[in-house]
Amino acid sequence: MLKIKQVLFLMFGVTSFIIFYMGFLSFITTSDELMGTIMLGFSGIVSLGTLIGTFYISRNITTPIDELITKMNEFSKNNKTTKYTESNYGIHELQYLHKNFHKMTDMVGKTIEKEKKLNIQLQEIDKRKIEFMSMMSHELKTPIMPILGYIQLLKKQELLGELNNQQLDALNEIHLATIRLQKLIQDILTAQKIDLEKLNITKDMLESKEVIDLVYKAFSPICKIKNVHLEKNSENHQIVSDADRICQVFSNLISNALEFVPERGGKIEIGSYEQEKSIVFFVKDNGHGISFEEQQNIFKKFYQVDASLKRKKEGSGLGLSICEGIVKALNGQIWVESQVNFGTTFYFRLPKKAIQIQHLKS
Amino acid sequence: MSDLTFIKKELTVLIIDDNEQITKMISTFLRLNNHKCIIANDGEYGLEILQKEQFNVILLDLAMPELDGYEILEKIRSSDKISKIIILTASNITKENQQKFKEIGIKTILQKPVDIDVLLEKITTISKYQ
Repeated sequence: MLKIKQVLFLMFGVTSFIIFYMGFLSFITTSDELMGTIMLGFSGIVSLGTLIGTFYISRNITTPIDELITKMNEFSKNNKTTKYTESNYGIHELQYLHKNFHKMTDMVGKTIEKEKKLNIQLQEIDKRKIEFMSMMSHELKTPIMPILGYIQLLKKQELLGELNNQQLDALNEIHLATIRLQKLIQDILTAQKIDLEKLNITKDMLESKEVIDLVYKAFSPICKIKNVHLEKNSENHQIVSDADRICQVFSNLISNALEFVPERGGKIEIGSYEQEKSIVFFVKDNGHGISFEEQQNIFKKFYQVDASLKRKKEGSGLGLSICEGIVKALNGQIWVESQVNFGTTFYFRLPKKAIQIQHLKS
Repeated sequence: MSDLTFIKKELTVLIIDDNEQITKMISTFLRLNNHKCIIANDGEYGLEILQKEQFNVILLDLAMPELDGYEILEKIRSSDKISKIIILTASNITKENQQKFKEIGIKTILQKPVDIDVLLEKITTISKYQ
């Protein structure tokens, strides 16, 4: 690769040599000695002038360009340029280029600085959000404990004396409301953890049948109260996963199903089966079903299926987005199959063997 | 002996928790079930009484002002009393801490709010292995 300096010296060097050579030739060949000397002197002055000119031009072109190159390298390395000093290069275009290069890098540098500051601020906000979340989680859960405890205690009539029917009714209402509040708090905290990718996942060897039995046991009482037939149907397979989180997904799906089954003859079936290297869990109900359009939206946060057709519903609208978040954190997929008037089945598929869990910063 | 004999055995339970409503509720419930309860509403007192006296089961909260549950565990980690501890907390326990608790011999960690029947069941289970 040639340098500008080399090109210039090559061009004008050859030119000045030719001029001088021609002067020299005329000096030897001419008979007029005086004329020959003048020619030689003139050609010598011209070629010397050319060389000095070349030297001057080359310095005024290449020096600023070299400087610009050094500054560009520097900028691409540390995103910082040295301060612009008014320099006189003699060539207008180059000076202009220099000035504008400085203006540009100044702007880019400032933007980068700003972005860095913003990033630090964002990290700080994130940190505070996590601190706030863990504090809130603690503060919200703590008072629920004595409330639920005393409700349970009062219901143990053999310990604290008998209640009349009205008192028991009132106590049951308080109990239901407290459970709803507890679930809401848990939902909000889980949703936030999913957002922050801070969901705690444990990996244990589980028996799928045992998980289903556990869920069945937990939901039998409420299904009985609501007059819904709960059925379990599970093959037994081993899976390495998080039992609590699977139960949480089931809990959300069953709570949803309970809202949609008909008041008479409501039926919910839970279970699991093996599919290649995964276990598929499901919750099937004989409710109203979900239209295709609504199926596109149900996993979105705070989305609630249009209530016009159905009974008034409870819930935060977080349930399914939480399910999706948990299932993703467990490296699985969740989906829904439904036909209006024929019921809905939610499925979630989890790998049997735990893969490196993504989505997590511990 | 049958399980029933164990359940009917009177247990002495120490509850270390800075929340007075919680300690009052749990102690009321345990006393109604014919168990003895000692309450410590701060870490210092809890540690003092824990080292002085004998208990069948110790319920320990983690987040407390001044001396917290983690520090109490650190101070008694070589004692045989550690196997009698049930951690009862509303805070999130990280995976690392869960692992640490297991390593020093803590079998039961309960998250608040806990069902009082479950709590009683865990208390009797722990006391059975003594």
